[in-house]
Amino acid sequence: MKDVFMSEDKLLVDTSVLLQDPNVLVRILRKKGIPFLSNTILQEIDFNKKGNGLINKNARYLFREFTRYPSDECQIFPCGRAIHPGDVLTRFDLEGGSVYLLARRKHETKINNDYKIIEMARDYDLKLLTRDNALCVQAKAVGVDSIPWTGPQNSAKQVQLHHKNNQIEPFQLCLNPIVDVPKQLAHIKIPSEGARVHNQAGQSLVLIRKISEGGEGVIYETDALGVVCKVYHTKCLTDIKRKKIELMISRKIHRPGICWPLDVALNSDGDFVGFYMPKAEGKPVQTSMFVKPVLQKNYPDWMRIDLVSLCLSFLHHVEFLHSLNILVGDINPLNLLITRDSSKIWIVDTDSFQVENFPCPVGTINFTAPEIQGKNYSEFLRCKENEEFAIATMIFMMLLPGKPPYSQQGGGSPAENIKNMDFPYSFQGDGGRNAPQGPWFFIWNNLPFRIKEKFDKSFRGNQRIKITDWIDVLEDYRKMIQRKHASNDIFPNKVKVRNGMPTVCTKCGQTEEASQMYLDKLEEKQMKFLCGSCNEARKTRIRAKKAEDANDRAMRGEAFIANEKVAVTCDKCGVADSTSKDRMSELVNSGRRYLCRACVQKINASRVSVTCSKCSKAEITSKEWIDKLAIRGQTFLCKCCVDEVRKKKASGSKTVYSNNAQSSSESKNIFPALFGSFFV
Amino acid sequence: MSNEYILRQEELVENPTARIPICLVLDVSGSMEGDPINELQEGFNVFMNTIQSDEVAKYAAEICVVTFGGAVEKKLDFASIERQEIPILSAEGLTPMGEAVVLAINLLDARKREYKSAGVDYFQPWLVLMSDGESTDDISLAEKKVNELTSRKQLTVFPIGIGASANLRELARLSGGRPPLRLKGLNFKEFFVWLSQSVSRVSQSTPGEKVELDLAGIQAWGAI
Repeated sequence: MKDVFMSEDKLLVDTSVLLQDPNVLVRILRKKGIPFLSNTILQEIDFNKKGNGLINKNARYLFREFTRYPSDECQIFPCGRAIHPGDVLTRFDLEGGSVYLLARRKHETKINNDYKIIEMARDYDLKLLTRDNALCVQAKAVGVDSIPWTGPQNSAKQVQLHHKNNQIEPFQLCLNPIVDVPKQLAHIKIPSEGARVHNQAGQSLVLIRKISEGGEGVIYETDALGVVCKVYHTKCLTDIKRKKIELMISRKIHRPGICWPLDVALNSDGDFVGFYMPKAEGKPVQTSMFVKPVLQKNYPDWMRIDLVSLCLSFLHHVEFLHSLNILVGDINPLNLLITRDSSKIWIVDTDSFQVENFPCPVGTINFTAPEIQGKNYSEFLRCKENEEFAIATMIFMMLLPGKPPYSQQGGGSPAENIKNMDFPYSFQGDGGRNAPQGPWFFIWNNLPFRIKEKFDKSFRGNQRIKITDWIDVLEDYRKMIQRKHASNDIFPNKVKVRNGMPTVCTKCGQTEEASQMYLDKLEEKQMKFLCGSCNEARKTRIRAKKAEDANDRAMRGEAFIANEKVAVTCDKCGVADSTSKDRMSELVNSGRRYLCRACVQKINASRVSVTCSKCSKAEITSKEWIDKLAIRGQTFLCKCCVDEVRKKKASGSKTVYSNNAQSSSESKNIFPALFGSFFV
Repeated sequence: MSNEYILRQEELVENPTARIPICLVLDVSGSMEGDPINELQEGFNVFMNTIQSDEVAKYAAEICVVTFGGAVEKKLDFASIERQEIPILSAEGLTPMGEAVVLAINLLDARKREYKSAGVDYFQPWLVLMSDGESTDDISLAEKKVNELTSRKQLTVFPIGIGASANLRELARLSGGRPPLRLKGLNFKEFFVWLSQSVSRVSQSTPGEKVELDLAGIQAWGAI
């Protein structure tokens, strides 16, 4: 076993470590470290003395050891620092070394033992050695270093600690929301900076400094370690709010990462003004990672695997809350805080959670399921299925940092797009026409099939994905990245290709893999191969040219005529049709054909599932293709098998497309006859 | 084609935040000479700096400035706020307000098209119109365009009169029904602080959501 501490370290050894491995003290001494205990830790060991488990034996052993040798009270802290007034430092002999016990009668914090232990570590600048992950997280949030203990796990039995409440009774499930008109509590003194607030038991704390202010109230740092206090604005102080907080604090939920209310906060008159909660760490997802340069600046060493890990930590929190019949309700990127450690995430604004018949009164359009779009959030109770839509949206926006799933070319209102299930990304032949420009297509393209499938189901099929299923596919995604089966780039710049052909970009000369199918398509359209980056640059140039033209027209005083229509002919059935000028130029610029609505519908309708005659994998294809094959007397092969066959055929003669550098805007236009007059 | 347009497109697609396009249409005619133009400049600087320091708003707000004083000029074009240099305003000439509003509408429209073709979400544009007098050109085309857009809820105009000789009746013709407000004295700074706060509020919402503007805050700078 390897110990993780360094020599000369001053370590506060937590109960969870001592009870598993009492010899840790001797090992610290041998490594010239200085071990400390606190009275809180000693109490917890005492609490575990009774019983026959290994832990209980260890607890008894520790007590024997501490009483066997003489102990003496010290006046000076090792390394000369002063002892806080009121504290007592005792030195024990252990195997020729010294173990110190710090005792404090009156702790600053009264919330639970975790905070008392952290408080001692902070006041004496000790590192906390613990195997309790929750304690690590809470310590870090208040700036105390901790070392996660990695010693032997020799007992299945959990260490029993005073403050750990393992059994939390789930909330009731309710059908109807509280519909009373919220009654504003009258004439209440709202405490501000410097004021004292207290809880029901009379324990008080001082509001030190304003941390943040929102529409509902102000959050203050307090003189209690790791505890902040939310004080509501007068207009938000209603009896419903008070009852809701009282209900919430009836469950002691100490889960690091969830700022669950710890206690009500009362003003000097004893009126309800807010509540205490643990201090969170980090910055909101919205402002720290939802714009590419900001993400790169804040978390320069992050890779895609960190985004996956973030999704998973978020899902585990929500799964935990759902197990207690709590819904987050207002899932949104301003209510999630993150740090550089992507395995941690904080959910704040917990007083808006939906518990029992108290609805979550707020929400945002992007995270609102189609069936509840436009409803007044405070007038109904959400269900898990509503929340599952929000969860899918959050995962999408974490994996495509900041991009809402329905954001698309041509705009449209987000609410309408959600109601119409107008999801712009392509999946198995559906969609893809309006996918947004930029890095988003590459990210989507590189996502594993099962992830895309879940998004497709959520956002096009209006089906809901269970949290456990998400955890499943994301755990797989993580493994795929680790095994290099999926790209670890947050912003990949090329498409994912299976059995690709190394092909030389006709612009920059770099070699990139391309699928035979794509190359065939290019050949058919007489277009040249461009690598991912060059193709992006080409599209950017086209949009920039268009923007410049529009700007010139605006400066000349010529307005764009809204939704100007142009006459076109369907490339398939030849029917005369009309479409918007914008749409047409999009098509021309991307080298696509115009098909009338009827033909598109026909193609979509005629899609059938066929089995590959070689590998018997099922694949979706058009009926037309099957008919064509039948005429030629050929059997159906799936894309992979086709690629393979072509690869075999082509092996030896690497396809190199013409290396003539040619500006893409000059690339051959395939429909000049149809709308030649449109080109400027 | 200038590199500026390419850079602008890259910024556009890489930032997924829903945008709030805002065009400030500012009167810099001869009568603004002296304190008014200085206060306007200072207020505008405060506006740009406040938005720059708001972590959400700075990636959402997109500012463009059209001035009218003698000639109509595009003083500042849309770009990411971080790259924008605050233009220096100077007062001279007549008041071609009609032409300025038409240009602003056309620029906002062109920008909206860029959002649509890139696939970026956006809020309907804002047009902030500030004048201390009355137009010296025909405003009927501008009026028609404003009314068309505001009736379809595709534009919000904030009409602000500066000083006693501002023609509020004329401003009302260019605001699609929103009553113009008269700036109290030269409280430009207070106005721009309020405007940036309004931008912040909107930037924390989603296009299509109703956002209440801080009506009480208007009293710091405006009167009907």
